[in-house]
Amino acid sequence: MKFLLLKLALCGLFMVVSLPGRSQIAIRWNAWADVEWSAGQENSHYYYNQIHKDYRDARVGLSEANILLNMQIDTSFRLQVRGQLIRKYGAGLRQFNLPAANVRYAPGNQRWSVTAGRFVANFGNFSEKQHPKDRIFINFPLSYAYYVNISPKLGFVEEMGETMIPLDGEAQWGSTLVYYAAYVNGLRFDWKINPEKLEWSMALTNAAPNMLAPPLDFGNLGISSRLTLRPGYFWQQGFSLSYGTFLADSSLEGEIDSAPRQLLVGTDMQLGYGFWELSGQLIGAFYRTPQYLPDAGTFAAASQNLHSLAMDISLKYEFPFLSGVYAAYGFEWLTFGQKDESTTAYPEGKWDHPVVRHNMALGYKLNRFLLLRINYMQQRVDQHPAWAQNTWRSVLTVHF
Amino acid sequence: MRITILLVLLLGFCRVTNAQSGNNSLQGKILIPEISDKTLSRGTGYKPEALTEEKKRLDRLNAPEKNIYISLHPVNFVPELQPTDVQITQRSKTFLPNFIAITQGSKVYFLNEDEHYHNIHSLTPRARFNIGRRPPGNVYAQKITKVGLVQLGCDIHAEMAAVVLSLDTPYFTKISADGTYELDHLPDGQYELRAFHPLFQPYKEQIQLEQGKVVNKDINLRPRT
Repeated sequence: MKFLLLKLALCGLFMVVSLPGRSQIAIRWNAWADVEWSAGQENSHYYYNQIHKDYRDARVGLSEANILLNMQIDTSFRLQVRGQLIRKYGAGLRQFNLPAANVRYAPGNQRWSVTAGRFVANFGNFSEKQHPKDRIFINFPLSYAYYVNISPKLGFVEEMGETMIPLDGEAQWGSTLVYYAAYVNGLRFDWKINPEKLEWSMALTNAAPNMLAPPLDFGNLGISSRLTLRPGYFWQQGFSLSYGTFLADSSLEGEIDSAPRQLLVGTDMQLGYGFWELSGQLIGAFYRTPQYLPDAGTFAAASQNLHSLAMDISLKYEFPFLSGVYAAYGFEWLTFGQKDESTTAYPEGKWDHPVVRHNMALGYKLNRFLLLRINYMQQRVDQHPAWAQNTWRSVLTVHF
Repeated sequence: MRITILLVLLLGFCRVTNAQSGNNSLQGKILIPEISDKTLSRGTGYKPEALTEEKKRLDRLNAPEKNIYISLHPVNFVPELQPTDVQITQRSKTFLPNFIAITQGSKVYFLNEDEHYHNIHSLTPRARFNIGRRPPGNVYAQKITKVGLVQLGCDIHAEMAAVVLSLDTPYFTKISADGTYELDHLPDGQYELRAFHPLFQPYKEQIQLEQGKVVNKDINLRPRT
């Protein structure tokens, strides 16, 4: 499906460029690639800390390559395509993604635009940080990278990480609160109500933000909205809301009593002055999901109401006397509420283990095309202090 | 040893003295090809800014054909440099101007006229600096000590870019609105004539000025490939 999409996108690009009278269409391109050195402790796993369990020992290699094309078709229409090659679940470099393949209509001198296709999600502020140079740390925030006990194909499963449930040829690992790469399919409306002070966007997508549905899969539906405020030149505050369904394509037997759905509520802020930047995000996730019982091989009779809370905050300092160098510290916390029925394997009737993370990073812009980041992350699952999920990651990003 | 030092000083004095005599002029027209939008060129990332009327106006002010600099670089004497401080404004997420020439050792005053902060920095070797996030209305002076091009960017707005051309000569000027240029009060001497804008191929030519002449020199620029 992904290669079909790529072919379609390339054909579309070729057709538009080939149109009579379109010989002067300008294509702007950017490309970037990451060369990464990484090492993770013995309990590392992609669904915990983005380090594949077979690659815990130190390794060096190309971890990601991207190309981004922006084509202004006329004064109102723009086509955007991004191709991405990444390590599949942190293992080999063999997963091709199309994080962007969309057409944007922005009439001249209007403050609104409409985007159709595959685009960056409008939930939260991390989604916008698609380029490595926009990110402080190498690791994605817990809310985008830590897999909780909800599979987009099964729903809630206790001890999901430890329970191997093969389905459609892949083990079910659960899902992140927001799909880790933060892109979606659908229709998006953006309105710069006051370009300097207030922006609003709304998106209609084909799934809740915790799963990425195939582009032409209309079994689910999601809606998300974001309001961005800039009360002062030093302060940006965002409010996000999304609601959607998932799990439409489960091929397992068993009845579920209602459509599984996810509600996300979030706020994010960014404060900056001089050489300092303080940023953070708070996300509440609320699920109505069936519970899958692996031993019985079927769903439980009643769905569960589950919720979790994710928070991250980071402080970045740019050294004025060492231009291009910054140091940053980040704290993250992911916690889970109680299950409806307290017959759970987790303490206090919770549906997953709370996680605490400390992130430390040093960044150095060598020149306009090279960025080096060194990231040490200490991650602790509260009820398992012996679990070692700390990681070292260093990435050299080459970007044009 | 003393004689050697004396000779060196005398020679240096002769060079400067020689340089300060004469009152030559150089003038001409800059011939510029039509700049067509390239089919494939480097972009600015995910969020190209919409072309508002203000943006279009700023783009017209920053048009390459209006911002070409012509400079004369003495070959056989060392000119005395005076600071030529300039101002670069940030307005509508655009540097204005986005290309400017100064003499080595001059200050560039950065003025933020937007309602949000910018973070102007340079990663050019020997001219690295970062002025940090500066609020609206703030002016910050940055001295440029390097000779050559200094690339400026903004950490917060990837689409913002500007270039400062730091020169080791006081003899330079910007193209006039009618496409001509004129440099007066030029000492006798041998020079390298240069014309530069980042979007055009650099132009270089050796010329000789003497006996108070007015030299006409038209320059034909070519776009960068």
